[in-house]
Amino acid sequence: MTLAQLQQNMRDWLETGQPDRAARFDVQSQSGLGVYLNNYRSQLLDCLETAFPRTMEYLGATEFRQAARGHIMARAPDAWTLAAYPETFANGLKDWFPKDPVAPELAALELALGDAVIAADRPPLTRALIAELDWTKVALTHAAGGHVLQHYTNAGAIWSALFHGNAPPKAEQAECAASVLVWRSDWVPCFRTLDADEAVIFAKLNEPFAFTEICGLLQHRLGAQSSAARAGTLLARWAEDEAVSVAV
Amino acid sequence: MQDRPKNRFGLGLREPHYAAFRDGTADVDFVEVISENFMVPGGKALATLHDERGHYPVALHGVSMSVGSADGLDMDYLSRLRALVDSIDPLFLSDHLCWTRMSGFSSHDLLPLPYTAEVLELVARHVSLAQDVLGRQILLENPSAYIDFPDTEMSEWVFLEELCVRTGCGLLLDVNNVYVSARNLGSDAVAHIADAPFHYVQQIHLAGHSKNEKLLIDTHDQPVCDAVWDLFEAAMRRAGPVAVMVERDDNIPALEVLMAELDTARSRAMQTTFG
Repeated sequence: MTLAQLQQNMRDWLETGQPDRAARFDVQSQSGLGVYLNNYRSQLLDCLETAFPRTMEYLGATEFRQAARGHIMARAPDAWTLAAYPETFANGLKDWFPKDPVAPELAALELALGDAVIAADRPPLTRALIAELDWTKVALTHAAGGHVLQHYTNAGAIWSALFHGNAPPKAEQAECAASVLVWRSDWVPCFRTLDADEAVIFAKLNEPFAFTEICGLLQHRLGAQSSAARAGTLLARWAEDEAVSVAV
Repeated sequence: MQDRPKNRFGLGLREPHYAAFRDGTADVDFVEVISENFMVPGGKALATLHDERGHYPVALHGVSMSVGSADGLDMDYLSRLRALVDSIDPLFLSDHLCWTRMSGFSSHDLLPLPYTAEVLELVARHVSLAQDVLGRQILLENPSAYIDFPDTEMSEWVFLEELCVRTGCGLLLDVNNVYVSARNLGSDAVAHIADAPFHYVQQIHLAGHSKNEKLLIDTHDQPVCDAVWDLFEAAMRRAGPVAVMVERDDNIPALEVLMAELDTARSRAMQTTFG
């Protein structure tokens, strides 16, 4: 048997756990094959439970693990890092729970929070910095881990309640999506729902976006008189939250 | 007169102990981290590692190089590891004699290889390429085994020694893995460790294991057992000077508990040549 054949046989065994795949190895290896299978499955299950603690709490451990085990059987990891595996589960959660719109949004939120933990460092806009910058030339971008999610449910409120050990509110669903910003501040991932005008601005922050253009957007929505005050309010809020970075 | 080289003693840098290590007062000669946990764009863990680098030398220990993949090495993985290596300048850079990956599949477990001439040729090619890309020597660790292969052609030590000769890599001897493999495969751990190619051993791992109905499992979630301590002492009589590290990845106790295990390692090593 070539090494490539041996490795294909081991992959087939780990992905299926079927006795006919184990039979490709000798009799003395059967107990040992069980160890490798258990290592493979338990590591992936542990990875999903660690990535989605509130989603598991919301769904219940039994329901969550049933879906997780089904996912592990259906979808093998293919990246060198286990950190990539939770994304495939979050993306497939709506298929496991088609009548529950909260679960996929909770999982997407937890995925974004997890991504924010290890996102590239970016110095945030601070109150001190506001006074130093020439705002006719400044462009803003997302803070570390900045990412906007669209929520049709109150998944954010449910996550917060579960995180603080409280009973979650009843699930609600809206006609229109709310924009939820996820980012990292002082090493800690956080999120909040954006105001409608903020959502329009943050949708453009994947690339550096000039502050003068932000003012233009606000002026278009609010008129000249109100827009300057609103721009000041938003800047102060973003600096307080460390929710944006100054593009270099 | 030159000082005689000394053994070094280190611990794994694990999240529950970040704060304790931050001030640099822990009595260790180096710390070791799992490379993949720090091959990330940014965040607190990476910043902590860079801070620690100022207090202690850092060994990078990987689990995903997969030098035994018939498919070849993952060059994206190697280039990310190179970036980490360049920023940390590690004391040692190590991974395992195993395979973890093939096209479209990653097991995230250290899977065994048959020790054949075909596999030796392939692994040697991969180790040489990895060292070229990484710009430094790597150490390879003997893995725990739960199965062996009837068509294997040479012992683990002959395979590893030949790998060192061909590629210039070094060895990380995991004493617990020697014990676990010997028990699982029905061989004599004391006799086995005596045959290890100590000339190439630069680092030693100590760890605990657990047990299922039939086999020992390399779980790194228990204290080092007496039999492994005895094997360690036997290894230290032949090796040296080396960097010794207590590896705990799960069920992680207070730092004081691990420091006590490291003290045991020191005192056991004191009875040997390079103590």
